[in-house]
Amino acid sequence: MGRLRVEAEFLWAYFRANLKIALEYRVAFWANVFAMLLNDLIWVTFWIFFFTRFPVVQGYDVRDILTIWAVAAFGFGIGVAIFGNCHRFAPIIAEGRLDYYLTLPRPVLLHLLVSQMSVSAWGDALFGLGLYLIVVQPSPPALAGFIAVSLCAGAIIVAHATIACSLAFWLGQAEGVAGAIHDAMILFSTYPTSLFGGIVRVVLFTAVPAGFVAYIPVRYLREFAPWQLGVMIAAAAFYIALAIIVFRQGLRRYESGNLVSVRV
Amino acid sequence: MRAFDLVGAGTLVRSLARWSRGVGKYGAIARASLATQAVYLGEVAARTLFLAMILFIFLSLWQVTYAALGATAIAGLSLGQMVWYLLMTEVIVISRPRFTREIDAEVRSGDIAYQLTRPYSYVGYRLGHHLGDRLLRLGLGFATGVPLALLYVGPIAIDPVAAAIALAVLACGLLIDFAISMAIGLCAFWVEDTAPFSLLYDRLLMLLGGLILPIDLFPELVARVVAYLPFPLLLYAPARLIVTGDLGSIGTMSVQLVVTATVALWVLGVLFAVATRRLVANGG
Repeated sequence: MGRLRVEAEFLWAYFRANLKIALEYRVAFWANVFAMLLNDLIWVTFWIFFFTRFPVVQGYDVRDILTIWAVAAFGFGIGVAIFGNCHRFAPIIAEGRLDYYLTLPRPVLLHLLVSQMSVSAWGDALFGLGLYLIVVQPSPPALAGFIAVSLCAGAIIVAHATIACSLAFWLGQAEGVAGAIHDAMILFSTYPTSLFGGIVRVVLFTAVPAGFVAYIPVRYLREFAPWQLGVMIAAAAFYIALAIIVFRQGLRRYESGNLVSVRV
Repeated sequence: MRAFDLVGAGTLVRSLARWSRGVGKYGAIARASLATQAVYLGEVAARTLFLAMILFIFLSLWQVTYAALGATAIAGLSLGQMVWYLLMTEVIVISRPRFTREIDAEVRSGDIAYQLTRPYSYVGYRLGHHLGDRLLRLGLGFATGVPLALLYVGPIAIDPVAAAIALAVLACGLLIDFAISMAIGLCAFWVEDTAPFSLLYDRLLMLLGGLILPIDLFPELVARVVAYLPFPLLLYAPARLIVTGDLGSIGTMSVQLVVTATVALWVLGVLFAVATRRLVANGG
């Protein structure tokens, strides 16, 4: 318990420092946040146009698709804003630049993930929350349910991106592959899972677990069945554990680049 | 009279020689850019994978939509035509090099001052570089996308005349896209970071250009407004022209293309002139 508290304090300290750094360029910070808000708004506008023309597609209506976007944007936003390195660290491994993290008395993976903040991801988080509040106008328990499933979805996205980047331990230059896997996850997380059947559906609940972002949360926020929340928590725990195992296994293969550099 | 002819002919020959040297210079830049990009085969593979995924998602989305409506055509397009349309728009979009960032970086670091001293027009240099890069990306995009579309929905009938006109429309669209993107990059002379503007332009192009949804399917009022904007000229117009072969609106489209290209290039020229006047170079 004491260890958990120490790591939580470490996380909080890093988060505050990252936020201060980002806010140092205040105009750029808000411009990025605003641009991402607009970006998400434009995609959602596409879906509104689509469902204006075709009101129900495969059991999904416009409210469902907006819920998918709200969950994906809020979960991704919070996850990637805090753990901003989760989809960027493949080159760090390939170039042997992990030494800095290895020499400090903190968990390597946690430190690596929080050492960068994605500013634009705050725009996603704000958009997701705002969209859900506006579209659904939820009661406090419904809002709590939305936050819970979104955070689980965010944890799955971060863990999945971590696994993808960890492939660099085996493949070397895996930036392109990791990017493609991460793109696939985000892409499939913003479309109704029910569009896909057969083997693709299986993939969407295993190798590219977008079903835990685009399918289960929407069902939970429609039906509020406790088992659906349980599935989300279990899936988040599973993918986090898998990410830690894969990273640790990979770390054994790590070779330093003996790079001398200064971090400012 | 004869002497005048000779002087006139001499001037013409000199102008042509100057012009061909100019074209040769920017052509060489385009070739160098093309050769540089050809090295990045890994990136090409990643793009192919992305294209395969996105086309698969679009195919799934439209398959269920056609099935739900029991329709053989939506907005005048069969399912096969819709997938080919989406292939065209998607390849045009993913072939866009992110060169706005480079211009932004050159302006902010001051490197643009070195570029301006070289014996060519900076805008011409950027255009050559951009076209070399983009043509390769377009070629690779179609080379990988066409087999995917064939695999997903099979071939569709394509009218060669309409396809040739669509290529001309596409070429004009590339020029407009270049002018707008370059103008956004040059805004770095006035603003801290042009990335938000670039992102906004990208997304507006995707939505209002008809990337996923042809503009015939937009709500009526929106479709009417969008028809006056440059975005559909860059995606919707060439893609729809190829898949349907419908030359009905070619007259209006041509006027719109010429006017938009002229205005975009003029704005770029003015912006560049004003921006370079703000440039202060200190030796070093």
